[in-house]
Formats: sequence, C-alpha cells, structure tokens
Amino acid sequence: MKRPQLPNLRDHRVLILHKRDHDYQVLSGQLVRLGLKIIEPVEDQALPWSQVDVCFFDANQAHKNAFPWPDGEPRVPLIAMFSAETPERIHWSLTQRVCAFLVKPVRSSGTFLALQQAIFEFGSRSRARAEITQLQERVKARRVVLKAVVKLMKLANIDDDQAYEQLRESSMTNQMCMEEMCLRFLQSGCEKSALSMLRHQRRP
Amino acid sequence: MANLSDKTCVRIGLMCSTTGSYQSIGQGMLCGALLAIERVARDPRFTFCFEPEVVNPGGDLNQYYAQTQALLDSGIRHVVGCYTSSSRKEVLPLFERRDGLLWYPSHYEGFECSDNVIYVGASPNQHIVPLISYLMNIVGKRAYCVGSNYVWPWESNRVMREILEANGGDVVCERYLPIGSTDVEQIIDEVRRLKPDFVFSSLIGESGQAFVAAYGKAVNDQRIPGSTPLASCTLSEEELKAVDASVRAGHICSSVYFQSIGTPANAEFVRDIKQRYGVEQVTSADAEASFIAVLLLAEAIHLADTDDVQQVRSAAVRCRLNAPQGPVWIDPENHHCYLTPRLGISNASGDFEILASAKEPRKPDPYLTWLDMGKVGDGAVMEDHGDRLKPELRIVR
Repeated sequence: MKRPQLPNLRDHRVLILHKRDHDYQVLSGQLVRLGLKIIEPVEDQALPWSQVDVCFFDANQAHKNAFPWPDGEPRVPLIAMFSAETPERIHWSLTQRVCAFLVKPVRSSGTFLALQQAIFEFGSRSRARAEITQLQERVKARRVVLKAVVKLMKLANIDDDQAYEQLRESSMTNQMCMEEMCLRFLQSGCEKSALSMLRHQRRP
Repeated sequence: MANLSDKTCVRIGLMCSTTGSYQSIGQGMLCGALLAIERVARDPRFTFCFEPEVVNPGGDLNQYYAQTQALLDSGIRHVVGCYTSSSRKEVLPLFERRDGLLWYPSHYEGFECSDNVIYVGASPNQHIVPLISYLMNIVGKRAYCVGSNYVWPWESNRVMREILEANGGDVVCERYLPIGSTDVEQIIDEVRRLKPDFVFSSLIGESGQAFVAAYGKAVNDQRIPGSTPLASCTLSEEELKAVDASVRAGHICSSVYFQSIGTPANAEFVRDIKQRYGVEQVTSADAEASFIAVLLLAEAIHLADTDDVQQVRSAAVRCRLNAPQGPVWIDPENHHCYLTPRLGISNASGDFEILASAKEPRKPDPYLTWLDMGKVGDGAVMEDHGDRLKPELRIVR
C-alpha cells in the first residue's frame, strides 16, 4: 500500500501566535476547513510546544527570544506571517529556520500551500539532520576501524585488505555495524581471546 | 406584491462560453441561468428582477479576465459563470480585489475556498469519491486515466490514483490531450493493449465527445470488451446528444444531477427548458447548477434586501432551495453546496439511468479533509464521521 503524496492535515494541532484581528479570523477559518485543531494558549502560562504540530507566527511582532529551543533548531514546522517585508525581519525569520511564509493580508488561498510546504520542508530537514548525525558518528568511528584493522593484521599476520574483509564479514554475519564490531574486537583483550571473539561472533 | 413593471432591476453577469471547445456545456449553462432569471421575474415574492449582462469568453482565458473586469467595472457585483477551473482561477483575483461574488455553477476538483465564490457545483467528495467507491466494488481496481491537459484532470487523476493505491489497486496509465484535441484513437489502442478494469475520462468538451464516440465504437466493434466501462464525472446529456445514438449507451457517470431524476421540481425544470428552448434542448448538471445559482442569488438578495456582496453572502447560507436534484443549501463553513451524489449509466436515447443515489444531500468536503482513502473500497467511507458527512450511496436498481 502506497502512502498519499501529501498528508491529510486533519487533526493536526496548530498554534497561532498572532493578534486576534482580521488576518487571524481568515487564517483560523481556513485551518478549521482543513480539519486542523487550533490550540488556545493559556494566559500567563508557557506555550504548550509539546502539543503543537505546526505553528504560525507574526514575523513582524515576534520578539528575539520567541522560541524556546536552545540549539535554535525548531521542534515543529514554523510558518512566518509577513506584512512588512523588512530585511531585518526576513533575516531574523530565516535564522529561526522557518519552513514557509504566509503573506498578509491572509486570503483564502495560500494557507494550504504554506502548510504543505512547511510540513514537507520540516520532514526533509529532520531526515537530513538525522542522516548527518549518523554519518558524523561513523566518521568519528573510522579511527576505531583503522585501529582494529592494524591489530588484526598483527595478530593474524595478514595484510590490511584481508583484515578489513574479515572484520566486515564478522559484522555482516552478526548483523551489527562495522564500527561496533571493531570496538568489540579492540575491547576483547589478549591475542587469543581477540581472535576467538572474531570466530565466536561468526555464525556457522 | 410587486408587478413585473414595478420591480427594481438588479444587474448580474452571465459568463458562459457558448462558443469554443466546450460550447455545448456553455449553452446549457446559459439556458439554465436565463430560465431562472425568468422565474425570478415572474415570482411575486421578489420585489426585483435580474437584468442579465451576457458575455461569451469563447473558452479563451484572456477573454474571461477581460470580460470579468468589464463586468465589475460596469458596477455589476454578482456574476454567474465559468466552467473550467482554469477560467475560475483566472478571474478569482479580480473578484477578490473588487469584492464581487462569483456564483460558480460547475463541479470541480476542490482544494479552493474563496470568500468571493459561491461554489454551486459538486465538490470532489460528491462526485469522484462515490464514483471510485462504486468502481472498486463493482468493476475492479485497475484504471486507465485520460484527461484534458489542465488542473481538473490532473487533480482528479491524483485522487483516483491515491484512492486506488490505498486500496490495493493501481492506475495502469495516465494520458493527457490538449483541450479541444480529438486525436483519441491512440488512447483507444492503448486501452485495448493494457486491458484495464475501467477507463476514467476527464476529457472535456469536444475531446470528451470524440472519446465517447470512439470508445462506444470500439466496444461495438468488440475491440474493447463491454465489461470495461468508460467512467466519468463530466459526461453530460449535452455531450451524449452530440454523439451518434449507437455509441451512447453503457457509460458510467457520477453527478449530482441527471435529466432523468424523478422529482416534481425536475419535471418542471425539464419541461420549462424544452418549452423555452425547443424539445431538442437537454438539461445537464451544469445547466441545473446555473439555474440553482441564479435562484440562490435571488433568495439571498430577497433575504438581505440588498445586493451588497457582504450581506448577500451572509444571507445566502440561510437559504434553502427545492432544486430539480432535491434540497440544496450552502454550507456556511466553506461556501460550497450540500448536494445529492448519484451514479448513472447512459442509454441510447442520451439519458442516464440512475444506478445509485445518496439518501440525502451530502456535506461538501472541498479539501477531502474527512476522507479516509483506505476506506473508500469498503463502502464505509462516509459513515465514520457521524453528522459531518452523510451515508454512502445505496443501490436503487
């Protein structure tokens, strides 16, 4: 079964950080038509970010510390609503890592587009970030692999290609990543137990 | 009670392409709208009558824009018209900028909701979704899609593909022809080779007529099996009238209106159309929608006691009409209409025999927000949302 190309937005929870004016009315009306649920912030209480799936905010009114994420990476898709396209506000919004823009005055068209763009962009960024993190960890672990190859070359009196291939085979047989296999090999202590570990890890 | 001579005239625009590649539909729409204008003039409840400014864009997008501008410049606030979504999207910014109201009398693909449009035709949950549900349950899950090359077929085919795939089916091929193209034999050949369970056509106007004729002939010649139906949301009585009787029968259409609907209001509508325009004139979904649009506008002006757009818009959602298809009213949430979905199969005389009908008008869902695609195949698509959406079609014959 294939997934639809665009998500249905029904029951997505949306936070609107904007004064209650005509733009707010048009936007909230359109969001309700699309099946989203508008979260009403409680006065004097922290914004309920953990309950939010997507957030519209007034880019011309938002202050410098509007968002709580210490690393500056939003935890939800942000959509900046703009009336005055001043360079300072545009730059500030971009540094908040907004995923889409909605130009004011808000019309009936534009909201669906901004929502779909923001959700798509946020998903793409999240996947890219996760992939970068994984690759960074693997780059760090290359040193471990190198050390394991050198150790096995010495212990088994084989060349680097053979050592690498033996470690790779062991990692595949045991369904663990190469880096983890190498770490276990390096932690296995004396010569005998190290080679034994490689053998024992290998399944018939 | 006002006499006709005492009535105030309210100028409205009628923008129908009575020439060009979809002229037969445009002519039907104009007939429906003019008939409704006559009804309003005769109705003693109304203290006003409509003075129509009829324009013909000829299916040309540039003309739609220029003529809309001219109508609004002349002080007209309400326009009934447009058929294709391309034409509606072309003029929509003008209506929004000038705060006019477009009464759009055609079924369309949805995913729009402007405060300056009253959508009188069917929304996607009122035409394509019931059609796919029926086809998956009765015919099969492998579709061949062909359409005119613009937004309505693109979006209709997306919905078709996503619903089929969510239910274990697929689209074996998707083809587009330029609007007005009648080069359809290549499509027939491909259908013959690929052997889908059904063909879904969103070809419009002359292209649609040419395809119905070629498809009917291919079935008659046994090049395509009769068990592979041609299904559509656009095929109308006007298009059937334009093709030979030998190729008219057996095509499935999803629509909120057929000429054959057996309500007293429809009998009156069909009778009046034929009396006014000749016995050869047929009624169709778009003609009925144009008729409804004018009557809803009249009811709203009557209720608001002004033709001011804002007040008419507010009043319109409180109006209810006993239309040829049955009760019709406007959903205040999205300015689309509650309408009654139906499925028909065409016969040689150019009418549709009704295969299935919803029990009552269904709430419009222009963004398909409340649709669970995976449930379309099991016939429970509309039943999970309580009062929001009305039950699925029931088989009546």
